[in-house]
Amino acid sequence: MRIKIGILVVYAVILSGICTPHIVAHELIKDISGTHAAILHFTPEDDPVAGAKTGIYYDIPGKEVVRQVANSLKVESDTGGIVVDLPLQQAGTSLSSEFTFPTRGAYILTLSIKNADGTVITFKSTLRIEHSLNGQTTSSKVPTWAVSGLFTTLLFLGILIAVAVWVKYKS
Amino acid sequence: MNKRIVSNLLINSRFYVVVASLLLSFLTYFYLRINIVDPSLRSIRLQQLFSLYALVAWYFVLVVSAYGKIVSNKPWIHQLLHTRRAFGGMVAYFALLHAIITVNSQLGGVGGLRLLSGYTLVSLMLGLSALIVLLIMGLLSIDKIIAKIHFKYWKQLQIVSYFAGVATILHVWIIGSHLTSGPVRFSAFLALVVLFALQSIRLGLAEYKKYTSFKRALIVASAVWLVATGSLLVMKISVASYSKIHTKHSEEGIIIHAH
Repeated sequence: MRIKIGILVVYAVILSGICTPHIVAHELIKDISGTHAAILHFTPEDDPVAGAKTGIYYDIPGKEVVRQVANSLKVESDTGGIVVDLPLQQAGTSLSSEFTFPTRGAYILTLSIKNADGTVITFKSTLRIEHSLNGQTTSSKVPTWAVSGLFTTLLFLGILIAVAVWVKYKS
Repeated sequence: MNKRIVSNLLINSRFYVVVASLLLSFLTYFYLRINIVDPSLRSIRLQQLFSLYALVAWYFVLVVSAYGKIVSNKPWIHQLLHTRRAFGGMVAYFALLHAIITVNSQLGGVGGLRLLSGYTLVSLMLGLSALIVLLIMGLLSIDKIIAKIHFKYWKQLQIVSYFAGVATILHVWIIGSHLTSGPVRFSAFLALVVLFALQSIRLGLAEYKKYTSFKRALIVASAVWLVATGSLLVMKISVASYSKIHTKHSEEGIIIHAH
């Protein structure tokens, strides 16, 4: 009986791993001086798609920073082909904007916040767009060690289930 | 290794839970390493999945505990109850991995914490306190330690994990961007309501056994369920969630700079 429960548990654990929900998240970035931080995230799901609208959100702790008037968000492709200044919306301590990245590739995002005393806080980050609307994905070399690791883990999982079944029938 | 120890391990369902947890963490890491090119996105997905595993395992433990008290005469429930401690270890393991990845990859190290403030910091502190409780409970779940502190006191200590549960609910509510999705929010709410119902019935049964009064048991069970479910609604109204903050952008957003 214990073994039967063990097998069920192994299946349940694997199943919970397979059922991955679509979710979004965020990452903390520091300004150039390293004294201020912003939590940056993109929609949809932190994995923007070229050709589709992307939401860009900056949550900046400390309202005194956000409530300034001369903020700007510049987006430029790493090849230098695209340079755009985006309008920003403010709500609470966060700033947001929307942009449709035209092609896959790396983009540099620069958020500048000008304080009343004239000092400027600059957040610079790089965003990689790996997918496009037509389903194309940036190809990259899959590391052999990761593939070996995956298959080895699956092998161990198979052995675990086989042992559980074997012990059950033996007993 | 002693042959007897090995054979004892193999007939113990807890062993399978522990090994499956370790293998699942490796499997998830390798799978994401192959499928996601961007390291930043990869670490985000990894910590999200580990937190999901921890929550699923924790929910399982709580449901089985409550259900086990209600349907105590079924032999299969005893087997599930036996695996609870291993699942508790699984919760602590995945919560720890979730925290390590979050701090190292998403916050850029422990130093990143000092740059945070407001709701984000509160949420992280709640998550940290829940993690500490989970790790302590995980350590105290070892047979030899239970024997030392006596099972009765160990059972009483389990109450602390309910506080960790509340801290986790608030942590997820404030910072969990998963809850921006309506179906996810509804499913989470429904799952908690079901859990509260099971726990309420369990408490009602305990009251019935003690005082043999059906009316008293019904009142206790109903009151506990209403208070717990009501607390969720109060939290929804009074605590700003991640989705609420982001919805503000579209509802109240003011353009402060445009070209």
